[in-house]
Amino acid sequence: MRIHNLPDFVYFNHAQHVEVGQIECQTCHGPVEEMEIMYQYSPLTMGWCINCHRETNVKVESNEYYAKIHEELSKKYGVEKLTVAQMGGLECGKCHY
Amino acid sequence: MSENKTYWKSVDQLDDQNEMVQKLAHNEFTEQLPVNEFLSDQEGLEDSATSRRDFLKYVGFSTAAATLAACEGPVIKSVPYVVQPEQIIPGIANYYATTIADGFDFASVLVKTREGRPIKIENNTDTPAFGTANARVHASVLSLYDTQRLQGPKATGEEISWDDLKLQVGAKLKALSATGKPVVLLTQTLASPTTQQIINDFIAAYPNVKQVVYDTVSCSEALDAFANVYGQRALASYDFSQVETLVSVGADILGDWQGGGNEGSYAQSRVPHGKHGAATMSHHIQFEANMTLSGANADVRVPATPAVQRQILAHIYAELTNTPINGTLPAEVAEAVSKAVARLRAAKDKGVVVCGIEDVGAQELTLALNQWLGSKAFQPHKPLMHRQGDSQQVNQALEDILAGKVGGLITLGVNPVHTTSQGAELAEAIKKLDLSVVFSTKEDETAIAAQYIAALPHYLEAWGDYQITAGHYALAQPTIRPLFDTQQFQDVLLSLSGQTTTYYEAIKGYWQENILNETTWNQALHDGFVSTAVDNNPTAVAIDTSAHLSRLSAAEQGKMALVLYTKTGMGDGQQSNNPWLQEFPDPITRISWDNYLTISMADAERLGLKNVNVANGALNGSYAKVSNGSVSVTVPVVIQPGQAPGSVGLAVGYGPKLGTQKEMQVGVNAYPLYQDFKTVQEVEITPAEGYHEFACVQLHNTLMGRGDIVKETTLEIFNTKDKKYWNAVPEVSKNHIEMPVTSPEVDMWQAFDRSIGHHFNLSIDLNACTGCGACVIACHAENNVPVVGKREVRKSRDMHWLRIDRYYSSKERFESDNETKEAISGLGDSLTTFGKMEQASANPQVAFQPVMCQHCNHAPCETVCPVAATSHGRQGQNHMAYNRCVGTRYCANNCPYKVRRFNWFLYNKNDEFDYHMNNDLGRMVLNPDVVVRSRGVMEKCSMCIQMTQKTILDAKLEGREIKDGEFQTACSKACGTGAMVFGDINDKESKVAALKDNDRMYHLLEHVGTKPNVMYQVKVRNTQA
Repeated sequence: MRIHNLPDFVYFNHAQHVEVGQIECQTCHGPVEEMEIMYQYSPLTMGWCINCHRETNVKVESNEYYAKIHEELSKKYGVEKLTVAQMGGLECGKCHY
Repeated sequence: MSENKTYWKSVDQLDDQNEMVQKLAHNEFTEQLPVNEFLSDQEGLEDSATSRRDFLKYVGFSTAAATLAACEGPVIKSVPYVVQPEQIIPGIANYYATTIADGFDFASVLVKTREGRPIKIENNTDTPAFGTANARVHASVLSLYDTQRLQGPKATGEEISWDDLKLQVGAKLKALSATGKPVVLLTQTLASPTTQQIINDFIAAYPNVKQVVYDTVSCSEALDAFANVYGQRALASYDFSQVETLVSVGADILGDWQGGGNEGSYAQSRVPHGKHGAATMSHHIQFEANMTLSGANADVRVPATPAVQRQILAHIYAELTNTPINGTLPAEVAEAVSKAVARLRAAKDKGVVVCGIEDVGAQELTLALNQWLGSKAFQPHKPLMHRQGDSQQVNQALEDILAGKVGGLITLGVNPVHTTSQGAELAEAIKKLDLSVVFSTKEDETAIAAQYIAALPHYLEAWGDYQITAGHYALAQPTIRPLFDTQQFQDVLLSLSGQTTTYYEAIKGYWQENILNETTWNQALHDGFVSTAVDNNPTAVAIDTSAHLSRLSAAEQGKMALVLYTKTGMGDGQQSNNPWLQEFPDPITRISWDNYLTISMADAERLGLKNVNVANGALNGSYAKVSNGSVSVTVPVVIQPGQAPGSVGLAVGYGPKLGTQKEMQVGVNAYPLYQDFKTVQEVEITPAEGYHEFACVQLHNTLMGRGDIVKETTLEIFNTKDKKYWNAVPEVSKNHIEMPVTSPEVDMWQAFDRSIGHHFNLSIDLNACTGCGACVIACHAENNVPVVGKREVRKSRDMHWLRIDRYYSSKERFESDNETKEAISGLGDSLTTFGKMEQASANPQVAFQPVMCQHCNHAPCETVCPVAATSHGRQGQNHMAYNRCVGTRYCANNCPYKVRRFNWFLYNKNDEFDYHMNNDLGRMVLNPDVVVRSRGVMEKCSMCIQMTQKTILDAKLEGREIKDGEFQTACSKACGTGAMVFGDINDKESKVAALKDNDRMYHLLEHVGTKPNVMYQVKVRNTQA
């Protein structure tokens, strides 16, 4: 039985969140190590995704890809750390294609 | 989406045993919608509009039904891997290098596989030869999932095991061998060194077997001519990249002439290069009967019937070499011929002549011409092996079979009962043979006549090795386990010859012994090819031209010449069951789902044949009967601008055919007219009753003098005049002051800041684009574009995200059209003049323009969407959220480029649209990264956002910046001519950023002020005398 199932019209990539974003499994899946029977911890709704994108800072440290874009964007927004939303993480087409 | 809550509609739903509830749970609507009934009433639908009351009824009902259906939460069962296969990571694509060699198309390709399923074909850009896939090769991945494929071997219509088949065939072969009765082994062109060795061993074991190579569409004369001169039965290769003057006499070099594959090198010389003021490009003169891609791309196109083409070739040779010749050329071509000769004389070794006349003499004359010129483009030292058929031998073999002189027939990859003119007799003769084995992927006409059908795998399931040219070898490897119970021809042959090795072992052994030197087998398999420099300097035998000259110059025009040709989409018809290719609009006529007789305006008027547009714009054509001796077919007529009067064209590869789904059996079979393997036939045309309904996607053929849509200029003007003259930015008026539309002064939009991060642009060079359509099919494969069928295409409901518009000029040149339009004064004049301009010239200039979503920075579609389903991304892409779309279609109406496509129906899992998305097998081709759209939503080109996102993610994972060339779209990746370049313009070093600053750059309908992220490069024609 499939527990976590996103609808077909949304694209989700674990590598982006776990490898690049360095997010712990438990952040979304809850205390899986204590679950005797697996259940869905987070609602997995679009609102939940968007909220997290608004609040979470992008892990730009020691990632060459972000070097230039982070410097320019942080100057533009006048902030030290950028959120996913400021990087364009709220755009429809980033997840829906 | 949250699936935590369950909403109950009634207590009955708690009852598991209630059948009614269970049944309803599976239906989208609680009641059966009367859609089938409604739609099948075609007459009723066309006659009467739905009344307002009916409409409200449907709306009210469907709203209620949808509300009820929305409450269900499905339970999805999934089966995980018990043992995770090595190298397969769910969600990550694997690429394999392989080679297609179906006897008609030969190309080294990369195959993209997802979770073990091949889903897309891509160009193998590393290979020095045959690395570009055409539209058919791109579409071949769908033929892997063809439901009509043979699923296992058969004997007299009954299923049989492979062991039994081999036993029985072996026994019969031995019996035939003992009596010494000949067995014909009729194969397609294999060009495979290992297969040839296996066949030779097989023949050694059964000496009564004789191999005959049969090309469905033959190149026999050119092969014979090359053999006479250079001693090897092969085709000369040409490299057009450095050409100054290219003269083609009836050779469709951008089509399937001598196996095709020339567009890459051709385009290189067609793009103006060098400094401004001294830029050069090649000059291309084309003499031809049918309007082909080559003629459409030529600088000078001269319509000439096949007989006149023979005279032209003879005169070019005679004038160039100052050889006396009898006869004179018709006045209308004489001038063009002497200009061509002068050009060739000036170009010397940078000139080249190519010829498509099916005559050994004409082909020898062409070789002599290129030798005389010392042409560098002509490369006899790199002979091509991808056509080997010998018409004389095939004729002899067929005659022997018909005469009963043959004991057995084994065929491989060919269907002579369907593709030769003596099909019916041949089928009867095959039935009488002692042994008949057909190796085929389909249960086709030849297969049902045979005793044994040996089911072949698709090339993506098979091993193979090929030698396409001297020193260049290619490998094919399976990219998926065989879907069905199939075996390769070579494996069967090996086992019939009593050997225990497999074909794979044989290839490996052969390569290690003969081909691989320093390269390892694994490396060769990884690359898909091995290429070595060969010191091949063939000596030419002197050509006796005098006899050819007098014979060719005396060629006479008969009543009407039929020129049979192969379409860009269908080729020889092997893949006629491929819905992508059926729906692919022909680049010239823009008609899909059909073949037809192309005829000149003059001949059509004389014979009373008509093309008419019905009330909704759709195209109808009258029928004509084409008779060639005892054979006659009735075909619909298309009046083709540029068709040489006195000639008509008809494509092979269509018509009713076994092993093809009913929907795909469109058009007429032209092979019965292909007598003696000659594409030129003398025929009689008589009008026939009735009109045929075409599915044509472009109903307006001329530009009407709107030169700002396809901007073009001549090389002379390009070199001598300022950019403002030939590529001016349109101006608009503000406070009675004219200013360029690009000025911020006249911009009323609040622009996004796109200076940070990526900003994607796509450049399309109209000089390099040949209109081949490979991008169209690549887009289908990448983006799960549905097939809608002939009926819907006729209603202009085609779903192509990327279309290639083809325009004809109304006068001889587009330039004159612009002048005509400018000279119009007053309403009366405009009505009559525009009316005339809708008619294309008898020999028009042609322009191709690929159009997809232009990804406007100031997008008209975005402002009118009531639900913000289409919105703008910072990276320059115009996003389309399908799940948000409610289908108002305002966006499509407000789009000046008409690139948005609406899903009028559900095109997947719907029996009304019984194409690949309606069966489990066909759906395997779908790209899992892209949504399959549902009914009622708008869709359009996304600038392959799934591909750009993947590139970005890869860079993030590796912690590096992105290099130029990494960003690609499906179309730019498929483009074999370099016409489409995609990239990030914020990367100032990138190729696309340079193209953005190019003088030739312009935007489509720039005066509208949409600021698109797709740009075009002005087409430059080398037309000065």
